[in-house]
Amino acid sequence: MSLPLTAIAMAAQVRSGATTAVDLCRDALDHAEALGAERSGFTRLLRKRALLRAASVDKLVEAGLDPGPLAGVPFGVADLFDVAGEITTAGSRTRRNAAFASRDAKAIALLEAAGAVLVGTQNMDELGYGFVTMNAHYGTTRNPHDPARVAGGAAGGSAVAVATGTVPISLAFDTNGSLRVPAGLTGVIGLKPTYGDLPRDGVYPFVESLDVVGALGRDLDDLALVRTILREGAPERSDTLRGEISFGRLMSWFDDNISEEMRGPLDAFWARLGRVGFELPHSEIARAAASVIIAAEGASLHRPALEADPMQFEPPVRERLLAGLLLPSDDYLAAQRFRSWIQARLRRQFELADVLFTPAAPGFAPLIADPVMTFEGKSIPARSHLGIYTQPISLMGLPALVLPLAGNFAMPLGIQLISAAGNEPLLFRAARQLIDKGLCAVPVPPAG
Amino acid sequence: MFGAREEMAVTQAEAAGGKAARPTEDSVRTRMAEAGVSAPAECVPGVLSNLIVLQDHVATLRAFALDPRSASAMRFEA
Repeated sequence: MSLPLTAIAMAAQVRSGATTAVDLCRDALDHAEALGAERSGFTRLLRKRALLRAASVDKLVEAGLDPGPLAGVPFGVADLFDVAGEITTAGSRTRRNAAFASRDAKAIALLEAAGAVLVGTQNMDELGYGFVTMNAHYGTTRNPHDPARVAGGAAGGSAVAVATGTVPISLAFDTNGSLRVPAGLTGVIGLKPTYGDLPRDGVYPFVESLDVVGALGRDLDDLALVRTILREGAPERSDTLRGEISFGRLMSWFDDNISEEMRGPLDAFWARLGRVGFELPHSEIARAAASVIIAAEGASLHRPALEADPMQFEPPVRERLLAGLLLPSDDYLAAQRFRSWIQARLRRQFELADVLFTPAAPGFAPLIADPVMTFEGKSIPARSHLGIYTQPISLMGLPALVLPLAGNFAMPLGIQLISAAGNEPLLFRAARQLIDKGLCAVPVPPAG
Repeated sequence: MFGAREEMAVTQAEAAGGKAARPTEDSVRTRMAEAGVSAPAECVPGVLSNLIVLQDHVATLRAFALDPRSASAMRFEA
């Protein structure tokens, strides 16, 4: 299969009249339909809405007007973004009788104001509570590089929609690795911004302390453009006018439990970047604190549904939420206190290296038939542990960009780049450097 | 990475001497009832195993027990 067009190239073609938004939109919808729900990542195709919207973009072009930098670009959203007139399911049956959304989430509105066209909603773990996108209500999303393997989660549908070339961009969320893990396992680029950087209005929450809106794509410049649009011209918070970028690999927690298939390529990548390693003290505690915060806030948010009928939830989510309800408030506050403490001290870490990196996930995507991974020598559920390297970064509120390692591997392997809070421009510059050096590359989508 | 002075802000949890007792299926049932949630008996083993995982996370946190005055657990902005 040839490389699909980037969003920027699509928009250029629409603006020049070389193609139409309606054609691009129809191609995306037809591709998703042909793949089916499990392989496309989509749970709902908004054909009527999308074609109307695409036609209006074409009319602007015909009238000699500029529909915007994403003119006619089809995109999808994880099914926790409000879409006007639709129920926001958050991947849960408990939401099946929820009110229809009265308006689009702000992030959708901003992309559409820039000319993009929403074509559908995408599958996720129930409520975002998982790393596998095996959803008892809306199905399992399969990894396009091996349909017998998971896509990762929680926003697995959003990653797969991009990995298959169905759409060039998906909007998703990241609580604890929700978009970074599937980006790593399906071989696409994932942006998890600094906490609070992109608008969450109209996005169904899970853990208010950690939730961020992010994006997945196949092209770095596409994601940079999406970020610019979603920030609505907000000034950048950090000075990016620095010289050579220095990279450092995080060790200890981030070096333990790496699978054999990841270890070799990661070491080779590290060697090309100068083999500088750093410790990030207290990462294990950060992961513990994140888990406590998620359990407590998630359970509190869904308490009414748990009281009404806990059996509406799929068993793993139900049991995790019920356990979260039993956490003492003191433990939750201790976790939040630790969060403040470590965030304040982390700023100094970036005086030693500009960009830190870790694996995005321990290795290849686990098998759907046996979704487990090895952790401290034991086989444990991937659903709750695939994010071991993303979770501490979430607690710290840092921005991260996941990129696929270049190479001929049996399955994609992703690395997570991390910068100081608010320094996304540096992250993008670092990612560009790695792509230009041939160290990172988005694999061609598999045929079919 | 962090300096010794900062580490001094961290007290040793062991000094508190309070090791949490492991939950049991009976205690889970009681605590769920006290929390006002009723779930079928089939849920209890799963809740218990998740609660034990959470308790391990809490133990990790407590072992690092921060001086409660060294960082804020809540931020309020006007």
